[in-house]
Amino acid sequence: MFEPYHDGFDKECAMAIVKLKDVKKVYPLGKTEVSAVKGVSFDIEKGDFISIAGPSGSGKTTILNLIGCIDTPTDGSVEIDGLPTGHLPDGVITTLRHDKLGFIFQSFNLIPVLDVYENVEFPLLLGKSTATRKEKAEWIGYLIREVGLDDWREHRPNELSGGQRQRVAIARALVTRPEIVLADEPTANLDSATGEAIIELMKKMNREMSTTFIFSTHDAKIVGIADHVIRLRDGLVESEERKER
Amino acid sequence: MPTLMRIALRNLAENRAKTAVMGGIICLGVAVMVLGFSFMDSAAAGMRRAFRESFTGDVIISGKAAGSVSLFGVQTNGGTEATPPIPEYGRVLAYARAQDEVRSFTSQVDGSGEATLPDKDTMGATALIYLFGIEPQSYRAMFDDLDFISGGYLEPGTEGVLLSSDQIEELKQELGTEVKVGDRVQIQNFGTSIRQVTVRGVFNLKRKNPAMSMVAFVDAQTMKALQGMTIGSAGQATVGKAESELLAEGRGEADLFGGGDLVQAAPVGGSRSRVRSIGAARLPVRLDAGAWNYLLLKLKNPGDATRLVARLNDWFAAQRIEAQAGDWRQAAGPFAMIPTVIRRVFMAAIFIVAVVAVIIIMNTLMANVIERSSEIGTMRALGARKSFVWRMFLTETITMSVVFGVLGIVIGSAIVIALNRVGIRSSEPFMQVLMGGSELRPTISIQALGAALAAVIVIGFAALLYPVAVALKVQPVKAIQAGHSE
Repeated sequence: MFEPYHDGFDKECAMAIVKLKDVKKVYPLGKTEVSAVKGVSFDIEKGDFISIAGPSGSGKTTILNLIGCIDTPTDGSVEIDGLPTGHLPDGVITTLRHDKLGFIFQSFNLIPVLDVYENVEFPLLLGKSTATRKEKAEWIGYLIREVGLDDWREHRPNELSGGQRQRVAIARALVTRPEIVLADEPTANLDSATGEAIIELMKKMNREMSTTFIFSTHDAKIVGIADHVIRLRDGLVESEERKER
Repeated sequence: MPTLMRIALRNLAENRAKTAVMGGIICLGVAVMVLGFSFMDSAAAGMRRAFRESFTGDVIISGKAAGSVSLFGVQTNGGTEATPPIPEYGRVLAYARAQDEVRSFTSQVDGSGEATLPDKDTMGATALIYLFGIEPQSYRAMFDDLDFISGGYLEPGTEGVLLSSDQIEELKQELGTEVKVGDRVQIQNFGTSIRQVTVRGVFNLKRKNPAMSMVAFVDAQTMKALQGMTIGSAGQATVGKAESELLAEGRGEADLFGGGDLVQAAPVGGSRSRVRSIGAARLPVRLDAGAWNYLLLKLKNPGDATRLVARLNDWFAAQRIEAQAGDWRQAAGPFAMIPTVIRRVFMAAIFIVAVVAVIIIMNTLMANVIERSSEIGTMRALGARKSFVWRMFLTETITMSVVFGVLGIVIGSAIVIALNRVGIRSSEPFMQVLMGGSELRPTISIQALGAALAAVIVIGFAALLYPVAVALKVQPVKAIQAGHSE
């Protein structure tokens, strides 16, 4: 198999890469406040394929936003790879997101004017890398092949189906070899068969690349594919279950 | 192609309607600027050429005055006054002509008066006439701009006046009779001097210049006599018979002015005949050969004028000579201000249009930023720094400004080239002054092109500031809230 280039991340296994300690998040809503998360604590280990499940309004997206450093907790702490993220300056947070995190969005969020190859390549253009242009091209090509879009690499997002777009998003999320990929309801805009295929693809990448995948869903069928499930209800952890990997 | 440029070009192509609105404004603005600046620069060059080569030369030296000195007198708050003569003219001339930059020079006396025709019945009517007293040889060598319809140039040492065809027309209207070569014209200074001169030639200006077409050229001696530039009696005065009769009449003030009734005029014929008698005589005073209002210099290279003017003024100050030097603009006086004033008006109009353009482009960019907030949020979530977002919008705006700016330059230049081929003609005197002649063939000004492109980039940049400030506030969470599904 093609050996992807290594961007210098330390890939030790079996340690908590994400730690949430008594995390609370309150949003102002007019003159009142809404508690989206009311004190959540859990750890996620490297290489986990974890689902944060729960009904709408349970706090899934808020938890993913906090882990993804695109929101800050009102109280408690979030640590990514041992680094508390609560009060870091914007530049450091941006670098952290670029180097350690990958994102898959419910609405795919591909850049409309870029084709498949360019969309996957895009995160590599935002940071520093020791890889040569050729190495990068091989790595992008590998990811596009892995997500099954080799014949579509020159197509723009509006020429792709929903499932294809989400495959592009998966390849894009992995291109910087992040330690964690966050996926907020990645199957919500897909039919069930395509949704399952996407989750299977994510799981395949999780196994092949040892990348931690954290995804939120309210689809019980999708939840079943996860190795580790954290169920939320009303902003609190309702249950946590692990499967043998 | 760099990613930012790729994104910029594709976004511009994708958002055709917005790009067309913004690009259209930029393109039109630049085309108007190129056209306007080219017209103004060409007109200014035409006017400069018309004055420099025909009347003012490159440098004017005059006596020092409190107001602004031009060939038309001294402009003061109270109006126009006579230009003081150049003190120590001989030394000034010797120093000026010794300068390496000087190619040729001529001296001039100016003034104005009331003209009438002593040999024709004009019913006492007079016409205002503005006069340049010249040395024919040096003046003709320096400014060969007169195209004679009849008669010819003044001969050295001969009295006479040269009138333009416009002046002939003016005199005909004012005096009610035609003036031809060979006629005598009587000119009375607003003081007491009266002289009669013969019309030696009627001309048109080779370079049509309404500002100058009302100027008559008279021999310097006549002009000096009219201006009273004398150095006292040259000896015993010989009084002729006519003068003796006039003096012998011994009339008092009451007799001369109609017995104290100012409304009652003296008999026209008698008065004219006496005046003619005085004017025809050679006055027994010696004209001051060194008395000149102006010394005009033409340079080998007109670009040296500023440096030479500074050097001359330094020398005048060092020598304590009450003289001053200036460039052709100073010599042309208020006429030279016309292009400057028009340019300022045009610049003010351009500024207003630019502000409107900034507002329109800013609004369109704002709409663009709002529409693309999800894309910006996604980029930020993927690790794009704020500087990347800033550069992305800057690249798009500058690319658009340059592309449509260049298009505007091409369109504006094409129009200028077309106008250059057909020429812009006007019979309006004001336009003729402005254009430096009756026809203007505008040429593309490289400076105008650069200024237009720079202006459009500044406009684009100014229009970008607020939208990009809004874009930089877009948080990555916007990507998650986004509803678009590209």
